[in-house]
Amino acid sequence: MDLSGTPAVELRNVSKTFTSAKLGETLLALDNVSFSIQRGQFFVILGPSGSGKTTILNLVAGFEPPTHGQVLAMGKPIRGPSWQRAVVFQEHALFPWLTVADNIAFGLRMKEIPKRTRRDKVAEYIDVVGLSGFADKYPKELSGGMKQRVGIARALAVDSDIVIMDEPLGALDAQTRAEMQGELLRILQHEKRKTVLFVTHSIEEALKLGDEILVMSARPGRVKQVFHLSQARPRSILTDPEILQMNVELHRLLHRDT
Amino acid sequence: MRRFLSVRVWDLTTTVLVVVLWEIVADYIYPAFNANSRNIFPPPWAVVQTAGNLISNGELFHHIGVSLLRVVVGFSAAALIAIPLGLSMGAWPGWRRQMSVVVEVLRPIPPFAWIPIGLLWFGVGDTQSIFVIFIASVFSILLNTVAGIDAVEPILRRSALSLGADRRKLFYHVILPAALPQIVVGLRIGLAFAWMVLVASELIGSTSGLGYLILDSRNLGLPSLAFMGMLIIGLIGYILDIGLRTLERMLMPWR
Amino acid sequence: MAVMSLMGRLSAGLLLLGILIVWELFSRFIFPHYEASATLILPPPSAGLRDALALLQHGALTEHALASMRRVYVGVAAAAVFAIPLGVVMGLSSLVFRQLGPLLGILRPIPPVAWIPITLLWFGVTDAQQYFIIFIGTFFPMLLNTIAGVHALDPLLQRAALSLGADRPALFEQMLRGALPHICLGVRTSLGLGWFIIVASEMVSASTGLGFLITEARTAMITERLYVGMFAIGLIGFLQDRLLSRLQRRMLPWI
Ligand SMILES: Nc1ncnc2c1ncn2[C@@H]1O[C@H](COP(=O)(O)OP(=O)(O)O)[C@@H](O)[C@H]1O
Ligand SMILES: [Mg+2]
Repeated sequence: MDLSGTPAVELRNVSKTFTSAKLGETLLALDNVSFSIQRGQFFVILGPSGSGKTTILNLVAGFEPPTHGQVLAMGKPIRGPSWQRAVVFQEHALFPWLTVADNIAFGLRMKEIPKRTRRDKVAEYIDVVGLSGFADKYPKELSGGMKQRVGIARALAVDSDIVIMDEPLGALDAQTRAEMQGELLRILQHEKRKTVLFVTHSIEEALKLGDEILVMSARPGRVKQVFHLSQARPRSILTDPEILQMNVELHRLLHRDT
Repeated sequence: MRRFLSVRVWDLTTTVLVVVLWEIVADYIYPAFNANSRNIFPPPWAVVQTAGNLISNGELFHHIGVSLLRVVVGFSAAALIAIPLGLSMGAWPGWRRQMSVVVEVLRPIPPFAWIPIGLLWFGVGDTQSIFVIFIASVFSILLNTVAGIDAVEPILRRSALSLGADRRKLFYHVILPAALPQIVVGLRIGLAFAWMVLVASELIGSTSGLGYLILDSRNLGLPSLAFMGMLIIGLIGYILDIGLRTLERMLMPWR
Repeated sequence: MAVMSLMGRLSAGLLLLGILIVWELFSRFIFPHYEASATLILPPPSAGLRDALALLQHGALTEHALASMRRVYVGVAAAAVFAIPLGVVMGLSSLVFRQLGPLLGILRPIPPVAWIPITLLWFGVTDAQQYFIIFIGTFFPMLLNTIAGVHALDPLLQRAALSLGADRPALFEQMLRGALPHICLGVRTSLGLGWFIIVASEMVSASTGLGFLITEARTAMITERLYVGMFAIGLIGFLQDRLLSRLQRRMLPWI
C-alpha cells in the first residue's frame, strides 16, 4: 500500500448543517468529521440511516460545500462536481433517453474523446459488466441489477481517479445483491488500483469489500471508529477469525445507538 | 407545476423594471422616431388613466356584466347537459358507442368556426355568443366526464359491491366522487375555452361586451383602451379559474 | 373512445351514413314546409358535397387551406424557438423562474384573440399579424409544458451529468432531451390550439384562409360553403393530430 503520497480524499474537521426553510430550524448532519482515503483504497463508510453518509458523498462529489472545514481531493480543495470523482447512485440515475451504450459513453463524450476510442471503450465496459447484447436497450427495458451494472460501467468508463458509490446495491433484492457484490470485486479487478469510496449500511457488505471501514454514528453524524482489513478478496466472512471478531465488534457499535 | 403567481416581493424586480422601461420608451424614446406613437404604443400610465375614466363613467362594468352573463349562461347550459350525458355514456357502453361517433365528428371543429353558424342562426347579439360558448365548453366537459368514469378503479367498484352497495348507491357513493376530479378538470378547460370564444364572438358579432370594447378601441384609435381591455379580460379569466379551483377544493376536501 | 374494433368502425360508419341520409331528407322535404329560408339555414349535405367539389376543382379550397396551415406552422415554429429554450432555462434556474413568473403570469391568461385589435393597429391586415396571434397563443402551452418537463426530471440526473463532466451547454442539452415527452405534448397541444385560433383570427382580419372562407360564405349567404369550410377545418385538425401522435411515438423510443 502506497501511504507516502497525498491521500486521494481528505476531510479535515468537516461539519455540515442544514437549515430547513420553515422556522429556520438547523440540523447538524456532520459534526467535525476527519478522515483520509489513500490512493487505490476501497474505503467503506458504514452507518445507520441518517448518519450523514450521503452528505459526506455529496461533499466529496462536489455537489454541496461543507459548512465548516475542508474537503480535499488529490490534495486540492473541491470546487464542484468533476469527472475525476464519478458517482454511482443508489437509484441508478441513468439517463432514460439514452441507450445502455450511450449512457456508458456519456462521460467520454463530455471529455470529447474521439468517436472511435469511445466506441472501443464502451464495448469494453459493456463486456466487463456483463451486458453484452444489451448495448442498444433503453434503461426501461433493464432489471434493477442490470441498471446498476450500467451505472457502474458509466462511472468506471470515464477513468476517474476516484469512484464514489452511494449504497449502489441497496435497491437490489437480496440474491441479486449478493451476486453483485462478487461482480463488483471482479469488475474492480479490471481497474488498476482505483480509489473507491463506498457507502453501505450492511455490515456484511462492508466486511466483504472494504480495505478500510469507517463507522459513523447518527445525529449528529460523527466518526466512531475506523477498522482496517488486509485480507485478500474474495473473503470468507464466516471463517476468518479476525473478520468474525470484527463482525461482532461492528454489530455492537452499530446497534448500541440505533 | 408550480404556480406563476405565488411571488415574493423580490421576484417582482424584473416585472417592475419592464413596466418602467415601457413607460420611458413610450413617453420619451419612441415619440422621437414616430410622431404617431401615442396611437400605436401607449405608456402604462395612459392605460391606467383610461381604466380610471371607464370605471368612473360606469362603462367598464356594463361591458363586464354583459360578457359575464353570456359566459355564465352558455357555460352553465354546457355543464348541465354535458355532465349527465357523460355520466350516462360512462354507465351504458352501447349508448356511448352511438354518441361517440357524433362527438368524434364534431369535436375537431374549432369552436370559433361555429361563430358564423351562430350568426347565421341567431343573428348579432347575446344568443349567438351563448351558443358558441356552449359549443366551446361542452366537448371538454363531456369527454372529461367520460374519462373520469373510465378511470374509476375496478377494485373500488368491487369493494363497494362486496360491502353491500346496490347499483344506485354504487353510483352516488363511489363512481361519482371518484370521477369528480376529472370532471372538474373538464369544467376548468371548458371555462377557459368559453372565455376565449366569448371574446372572439364579441369581436365578430356583437355591439357590447369586453370583446366589442377592445375592437372599438381600434375604431376610436385608442390603443390604451385595447391594452386595458386585454388586461381586464385576462384578469377575469384568471379569477374565473380561481373560482373553479376553490369549488374543487370545497367539493373534494380529500385531495 | 380511442380504439375501435372493425365491427365498431362498421357500425359507426353506418350510423354516420344514417344521420347524413336523415339530414338530407329533412332539409329537402320536411324543413322547407315549415321555414321559408330552410335551404339557407340548413342546406342538405349533397349541396355541401357539390360545393366542395367545385371549390376543389378551381383550387380555392386548397389555397385557403394552405394559407391557414402556413400561418399556423410559422407561428407555432416561432413560438417553439423561444418557448422551449426559455422553458428549459426556467426549469433549471429557480431565479429566472421567479423573476419571469409574475410577468408571464400577467400575460398568460389573456386569450390570444384579445390581442387581435392591438395587433391590427401594429401590423395592419398582414400575415405578420396572424403569425403574432398564433405566436402569442401557443407560446404559453409550450413554455409551461417544457418547464413541467424539466421539473419532472429526477434531480439526481443533473448531478449524474455534472459528475460525469458535463458543462452548462451539455447539461442544457440533456435536460432538453429529458423534457422531450412534455415538450412533444406542448407542441401537439399548441398545433391544435393554433389551428383553433387561426380560424378566429382569419375571421376578423384576413382575405385568405379557411377562417376567411367561412365568414365570407356567411356574408355571401352560401351556407353550404360554411359547412364545407368547417368540415375542412375539422378534418385537417384531426389528420394533423393523428400524424403528430405517430411522429411522437417514433421520436421517443425510450418512453
Ligand atoms: N438537503 C437536506 N436538507 C435538510 N436536511 C438534510 C438534507 N440532506 C440530508 N439531510 C439530513 O441530514 C441527515 C443525514 O442525511 P444523509 O446524509 O442522507 O444520511 P444517510 O445517507 O446516512 O442516510 C439526515 O437527518 C437528513 O434528514
Ligand atoms: Mg443515504
